[in-house]
Amino acid sequence: MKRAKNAVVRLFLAMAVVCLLSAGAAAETIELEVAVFDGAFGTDFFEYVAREYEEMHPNVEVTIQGSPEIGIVLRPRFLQGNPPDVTWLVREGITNAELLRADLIHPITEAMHSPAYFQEDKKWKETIMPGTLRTLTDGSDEIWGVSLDLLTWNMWYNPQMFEEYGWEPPQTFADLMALGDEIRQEGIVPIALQGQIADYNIYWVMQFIQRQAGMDALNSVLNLEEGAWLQDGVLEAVRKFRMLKDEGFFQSGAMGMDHMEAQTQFVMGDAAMVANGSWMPAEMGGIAPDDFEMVPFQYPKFEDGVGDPNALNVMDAEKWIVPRDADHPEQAVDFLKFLTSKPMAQEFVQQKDAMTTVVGANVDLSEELQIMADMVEEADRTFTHVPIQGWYPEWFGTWADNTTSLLLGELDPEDYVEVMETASERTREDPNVELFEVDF
Amino acid sequence: MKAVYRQIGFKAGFLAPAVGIFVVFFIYPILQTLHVSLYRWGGLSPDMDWVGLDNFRNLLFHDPIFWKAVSNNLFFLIVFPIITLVLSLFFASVFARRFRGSTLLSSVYFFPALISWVAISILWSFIYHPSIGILNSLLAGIGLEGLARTWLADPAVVLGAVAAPLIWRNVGFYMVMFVAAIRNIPPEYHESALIDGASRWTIFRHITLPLIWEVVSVAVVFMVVNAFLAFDLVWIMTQGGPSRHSEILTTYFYRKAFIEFQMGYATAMAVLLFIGVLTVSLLLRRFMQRETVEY
Repeated sequence: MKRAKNAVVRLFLAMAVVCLLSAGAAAETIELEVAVFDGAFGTDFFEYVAREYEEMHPNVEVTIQGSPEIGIVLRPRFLQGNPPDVTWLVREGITNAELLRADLIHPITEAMHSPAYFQEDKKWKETIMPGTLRTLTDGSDEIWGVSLDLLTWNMWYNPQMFEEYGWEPPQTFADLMALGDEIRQEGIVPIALQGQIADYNIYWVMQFIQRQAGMDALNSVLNLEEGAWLQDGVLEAVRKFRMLKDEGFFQSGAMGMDHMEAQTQFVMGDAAMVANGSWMPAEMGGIAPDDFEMVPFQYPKFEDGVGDPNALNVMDAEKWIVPRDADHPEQAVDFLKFLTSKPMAQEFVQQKDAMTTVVGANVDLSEELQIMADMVEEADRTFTHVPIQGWYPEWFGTWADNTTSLLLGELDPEDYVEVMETASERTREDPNVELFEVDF
Repeated sequence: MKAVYRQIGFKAGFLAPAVGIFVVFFIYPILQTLHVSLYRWGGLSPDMDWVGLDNFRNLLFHDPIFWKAVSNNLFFLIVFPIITLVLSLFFASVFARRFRGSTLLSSVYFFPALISWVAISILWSFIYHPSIGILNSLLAGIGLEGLARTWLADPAVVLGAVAAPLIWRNVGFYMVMFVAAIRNIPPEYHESALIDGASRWTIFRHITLPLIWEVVSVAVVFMVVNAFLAFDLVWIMTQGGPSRHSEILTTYFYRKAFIEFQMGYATAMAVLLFIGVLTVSLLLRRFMQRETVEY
C-alpha cells in the first residue's frame, strides 16, 4: 500500500515537473508578429520565410498578418504604441517617412554591421545594394530599414509592332523625336502617358533633368537649393519633356487616363511605347493578350546633355522596418536579416519573378527582368524620388500639380521652372519643415 | 414630490442611451477636433506641438489651395441646389398627377438614388472616358465632335463634369420627397384654381409651392450640406485634379490628413468646414422661413 502510495506521489511529481518544464519552455517562446502589404506578391512567400526561420529558431513563432490596406489597419496600433514587430508598408495609411519623423522606427545600423546570414564572411550591409539603404533616412548615419524587392522605372516597347514596322528602340532624344514622328504617321500613338497619375509625370521630368543637366543639377533640385530650377539645363530638360506633348506623342485624352487605362492602350497595340516600373508585366499580365510581349529599355540619352547616359531611376520599394515600440526588436531585426539573406532573396526571385536588392541574388530571371537587372548593373548611378516625397509631401504635391499644368498647357516651361523655384523657396524657408540632403 | 422625481428618473432612463451615444459619438469627437486643430500633429505618435491658432491663420491667409477649394465648393453650393431643386420640382409636379406609367417613370428617375456613390463615380468616369466614353461618342455621332474633350482633365469643364452626377443622383430622391408633399395637398385647391382659369404655372407658383414650402426648405438645407460634403464622387473621379481644379474642402482635408500627414492643419480645416456648413444652413433656414400654411 505504501509502495503504491509512493508510486502515485512520484508520478504526480514527475507530471508536475513536466508541466513546469513545458510551461517554462512556453514562456521562452518568442512570438514575432510580421505585418505585410498583401499586394502583387501576396503573403505566401513571407509565410515560407516565416516557416524557414522557425526551423532555424525553434523558440520563435512567426505570424504573418497581411492586408491590402496594411497602413490603415496598423495606424491605430502605432498610435497606441502597440505595433507589430516587423512591418512592410505600401500604399496609403502610413508611410515610413512619417514614422521616422515621429521617431517610431528602431534603427538597424548595428545589426547591419554584424555577419550576414549564410555568408559569415560578409557584413549584412555588404550584401544589400548600397544605394537602397540610404533612401529612408533622416540625414543621420543610421540605417532605418531594408527593402527586399527592387523596382526600376524605365521605358517599354512593343517588340512585335517594332519588328513589323522595322523600328528600333530610340537610343537618343533625336531618335525618339524621329521615331515618334514615324509612329504617328502610321496612325499609332508613340507613347501612352498615364497623365492622371501625376507622380508618373514627375519621373519623366526627373530623368530628363538628369540626362540634360546632370546628376548634380537633379540633386540640387531635390535638395530645394536656391536657383536650382533656374539652371539652363533644367529649363532645357523641361522644354524637351513638353516637346513630347506639343508634338502630339501622347495619346489623346492622356491627362484623363490613369495608369491602367493608359497602359491598356499600350498592351492593346494602340500605343508603341510607355514608361512604367519593373512591375509592368505583373500589372498588365491579366489584361494583355496572351501573345503580347513587352521589352524594357532605358530612357534615351541626350546628345546635348551632360548627364549620365546610364543613370537609372531605381524606385526602391518601401522598406521593411522594425517599429520602435516592437515587443521583440532584436529578434525582429534578426528576422529582417534572414529575410534579406541571399538564399531567401533567391527564393523570392524564383517564386515571384521579381528583382531583389540583395547582391548576387538576381539570377535565373525572366527575359524582361534580366534586361532590367542588366540596366541596374550598368547604371553607375541611380536616383529615386522616394525620400523626397516622404520629407516634403506638400512640395512634392505642388510639383505634381505643376507638372500636370505643364502638360495641360497651363504653364509654359519658363513659367514652370519659375513656379517650382518659388515652391522650393517656400518649403526651404518654412520653419516647420526640416531640410535633408540627397546625394545621388 | 416623490412621484415627480420618479417621473424624471423614468424619462431620464429612457433618454440616457440616446444622449450617451450622442455625447460619445458626436459631442466628444467635435470637442476633440477643436482640440487637435490647435496643434501641429502628424497623427501617429502621442506627441503634439501646441501652435495655438497658427493652423487657422495659415489656412485663411497663406494657403491659396484652401481658397481654391472654397471657391470650388461655392460653385457646387450654387449650381447643385439650384439645378437639383428646379429639376426635382419640375418632375415632382409632373409625376404628382397620376397618369398611366407615372409610377414606372418616377421609379426610373428615382433609381440613381439607390446606387452607391462609388458605383456612380465609376460609371460616370466611363461616360466621360476620353477614348471609350459614351459622351464623346455621342457628340461625335451627332456631328458635334468639336465639343468632345477630356472631361475630367480639362480645367475649364471638370467642375461641371463632376457636378453632373451629383445632380443626376439627387434629382430623383428630392422628386420623391416633393411628390409625396404635393399629393398631400387637398385636390380641391387645384380644382377650384383650374375652374377659375388659372394657368399651370400660376397654380404651381401660388398654390403648390407655398403649400410644400416647409419640405422644400428642408430639402434645400440637405442639398447645401451635400454640396459641402461631397467627397467620394470627387475623390474617385478626379482626386481633386487636374492640378487641383476640382479640389474641394473635403478632398483637400483628406490630402492634408492622410497623404501629407498634417493632422492638426487638416483638423483646423474640418473646424472651418463645420462652421461654414452650420452658418449656411442656419442662414438658409432663417431666410426660407415663412409662416406655415395649414390646410
